[in-house]
Amino acid sequence: MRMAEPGRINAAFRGRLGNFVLDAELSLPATGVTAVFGPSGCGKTSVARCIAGLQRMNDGFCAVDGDIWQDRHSFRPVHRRPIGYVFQEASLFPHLSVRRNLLYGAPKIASAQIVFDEVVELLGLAALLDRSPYRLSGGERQRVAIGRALLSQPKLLLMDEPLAALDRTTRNEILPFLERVHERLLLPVLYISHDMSEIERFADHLVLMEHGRVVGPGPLHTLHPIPLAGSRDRHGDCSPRRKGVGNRTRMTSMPIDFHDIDPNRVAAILYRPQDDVDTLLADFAEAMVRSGERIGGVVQRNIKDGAGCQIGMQAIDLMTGREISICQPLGSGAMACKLDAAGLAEAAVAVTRAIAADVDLVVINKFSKQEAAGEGLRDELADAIAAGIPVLTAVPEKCLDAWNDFTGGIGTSLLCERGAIEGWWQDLSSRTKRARAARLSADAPTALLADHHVG
Amino acid sequence: MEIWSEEIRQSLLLTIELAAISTAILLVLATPLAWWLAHAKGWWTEIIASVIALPLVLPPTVLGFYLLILLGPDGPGGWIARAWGGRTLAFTFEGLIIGSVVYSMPFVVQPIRNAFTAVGERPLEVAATLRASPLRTFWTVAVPLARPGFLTGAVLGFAHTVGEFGLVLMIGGNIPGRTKVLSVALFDYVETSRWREASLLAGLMVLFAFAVILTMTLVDKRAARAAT
Repeated sequence: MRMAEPGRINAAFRGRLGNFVLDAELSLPATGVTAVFGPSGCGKTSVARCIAGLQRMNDGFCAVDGDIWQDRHSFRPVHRRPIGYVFQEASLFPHLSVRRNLLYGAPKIASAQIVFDEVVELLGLAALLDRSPYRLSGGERQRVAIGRALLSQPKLLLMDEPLAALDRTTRNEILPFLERVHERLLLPVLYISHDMSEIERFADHLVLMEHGRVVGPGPLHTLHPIPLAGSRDRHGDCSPRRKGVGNRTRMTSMPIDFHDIDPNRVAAILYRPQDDVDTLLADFAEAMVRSGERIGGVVQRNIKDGAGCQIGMQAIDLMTGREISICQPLGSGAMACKLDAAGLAEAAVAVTRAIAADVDLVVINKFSKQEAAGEGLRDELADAIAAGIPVLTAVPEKCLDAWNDFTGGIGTSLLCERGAIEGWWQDLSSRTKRARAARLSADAPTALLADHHVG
Repeated sequence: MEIWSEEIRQSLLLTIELAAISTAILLVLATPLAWWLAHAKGWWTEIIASVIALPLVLPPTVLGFYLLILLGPDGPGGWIARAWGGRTLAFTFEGLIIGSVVYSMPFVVQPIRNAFTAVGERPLEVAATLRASPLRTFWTVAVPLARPGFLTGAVLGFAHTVGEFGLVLMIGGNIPGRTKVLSVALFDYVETSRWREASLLAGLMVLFAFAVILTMTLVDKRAARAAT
């Protein structure tokens, strides 16, 4: 794969770094966010440093979007590579103010694509501009570091565990900013992390690494489908990137008026990034299946390795128990962190079958970025709600506005707790059963009458 | 104030001139040397570092002896002097500057080298990823961050040049207005039992030394405060 292809990042590095042997080869699309995932010490950072040119492997090749940065005969020095690099520690220049840190790598000419004011707004830096880096919190420093990297007008942004040095609270404070950056700027990003929950939040593609090697496609499945062609005419608050990142532009208009639906039948578990909503929903749904409830739909489960470290995801059809698990290989061990078209079709079939069987509850995990943008399982969610079947889904807090847009404000939202979900379901099912019983007794004479008439 | 003679004034001015010029030359030479020592990784690095540090432990007279030979009419100093019609660099102001630079080099190189090492690789890497050329990185990141090291180096280099004696005596002699600096003048006054002049000069030197140490302590403190 040692050749330069337009629109792709091709890299191969082989050699020894102390006791560590790196033998990594990757070929990725130069769009969207590619996560490089693996345990500590697996060589993720070395790969990023080699691509940046901070580390030189003699046996190496690196080309980005057809532009060769390193091959057998040449090695372009770091400062001539159009990259942005965000280190684990913010590493701001302590002798410069926030403003001068931000402008350090910004070109003097005004033709910049990523402009100062936009970055300041995007990362919420306006109040910090004249401060010294010493007077910033850890999260603020990292935001400045990200802004500084962006303002150098990179063609590739390398982020080396940018959140790993921060505590949990700070991480949650910075995640929304990071997400906005990924959504608003058309910039390919290589995001190094050992934290699957971060990866799940932004990554479009995934590279798994182990012991200095890129390992083949592993068990990585999520319910985010890859895009289908089409056009988009509206998007919610957590819409995807303006354009680019492939062609994820399918959009459906709502087929029904939700105002006719009993609002309590639709429940959304509102969750924050730190909540393990997948496991919660899967546990609840599978307990229901075991106790003989008639439910259908799709949940997803995290796959953990022996050490309890999350290594992937898997979707499950609740009616058949079938695992939906097809990843999109992108070559050299990289793959899309989403269901491919076939996987999406399977998930859609699972929901449609549940609706056709008129189950008592449809569970769809979840309504997030893709659904907000009119992709994913949005149509299926709409069908289930329109069919009048109780629907349980999960909505990330940041997508709440998009969810409300989608449902027209009906439905109820639940805390991300087992008790809240069970309470909602017990209340709803008892009312549903009463209503059904009432409907049956009301329908019976009419039916008899009808028979009689025909007779 | 009859003891404030023309002679003392001349020595004082000469000393300041010598120390100022030497310090300037020292900074120019020591900066790349310190940079190289802070970043080179080969075994020879420490050999060069040891050679530079030699004046720390050598008796000034030993250094003076070798410099006298090098600067004399038959050494490289003599050939250089011929460029402007001179015969030798020994017993001249220029010779004194060369001697001072060699003698004070370790006092300037060491603090700057330590400061560059303390700056570390990371800020330089960050600058490189922000498209800064190595030269721009050096001037806009490495030097400003190593500033306390430069200040310490400059103060030590200046003070050490003012305080040298053995070396000056060996290569400079005691020529009024040319090589008769304060430390030599003090020796001269003691030799000739002019105690009042001697105590004045000695007192001046004590004050100067005190000021130097106080300045350096304050600089260190400020650097430490800025880093928190």
